[in-house]
Amino acid sequence: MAFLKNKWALAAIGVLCWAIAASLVSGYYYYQYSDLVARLEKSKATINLGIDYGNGTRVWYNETKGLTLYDAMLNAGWNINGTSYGVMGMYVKAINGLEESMSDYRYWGWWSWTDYGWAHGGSACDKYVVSPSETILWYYSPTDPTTFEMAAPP
Amino acid sequence: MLESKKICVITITVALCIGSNYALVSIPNFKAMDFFVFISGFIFGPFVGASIGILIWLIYGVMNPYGFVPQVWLATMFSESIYGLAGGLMGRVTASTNFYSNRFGLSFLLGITGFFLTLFYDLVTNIVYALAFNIPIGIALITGVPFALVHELSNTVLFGTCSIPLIIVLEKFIGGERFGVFKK
Repeated sequence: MAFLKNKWALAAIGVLCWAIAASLVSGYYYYQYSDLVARLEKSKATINLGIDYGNGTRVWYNETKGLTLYDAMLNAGWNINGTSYGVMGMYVKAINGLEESMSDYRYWGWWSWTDYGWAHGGSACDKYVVSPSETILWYYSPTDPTTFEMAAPP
Repeated sequence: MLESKKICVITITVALCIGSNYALVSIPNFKAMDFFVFISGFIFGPFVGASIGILIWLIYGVMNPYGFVPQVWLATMFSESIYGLAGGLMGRVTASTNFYSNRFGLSFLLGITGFFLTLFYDLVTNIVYALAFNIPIGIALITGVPFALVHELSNTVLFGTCSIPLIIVLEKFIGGERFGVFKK
């Protein structure tokens, strides 16, 4: 039992126990993470995503997958510049290099196609969970300077 | 020790362990049983320790509030006896050691022993559980990690802090002279 007086031997055994426990915890969390990612991947919806630059150019990215609208925009390969406001979600300032313009009253807004036409998106793009086969269009909308009401896409 | 005394010790410890198991049933994976089995082996030898481990599960396993599965029952019986066996072997190795002068090192060693014995116990029972329910062994081991860690850490603390006081008291009680009890 001489090794009981050797502090380094005791420390080594302690570190070994810590290493085993830490490995078990990391293995557990890695498994939980992989499982969650796999489940989320399965629950991603396929949508028709479009972008209208307000100058007559409208590009569609059909069969885009995503969990949220923001996720789908990233999957479509868009370059997005926005500011996150925590629980309120993300405010999009620019898409693919085209920035909002306060002087021209042009702002980015997203619209969902319904039986009655285009309906304005009610929430931030990273908070909106998309449904399968949904048609969503980002429109560089002209905005009324007095009411700040966005014009619907043509 | 006399045979009748040995049987008495086994019976009382088995009753104590089963009682403590039912008392702690609402706290998953925290049991004083492993500690008592280990200490029984430590003081009374590996045979008594292993017998207590097997007997506890022979009774508690059949009337287990979490259910009864024969394969898991056999695995727990075997794994529990390891605590008693290891306790007995450790008791023999440390018999000439003075527990008063090596208190910190011994407490540490006993805590570590509790950790590894529990790790072995969880490993065996989880593997048998996976085989019994046709679950991939890796999945069963990984998903059981939080429960296993609670079991291992609680046993490490219990073995590390409570072993020496209980061993000294029991050794005094049976009139033994090991572990430096009367050589202070």
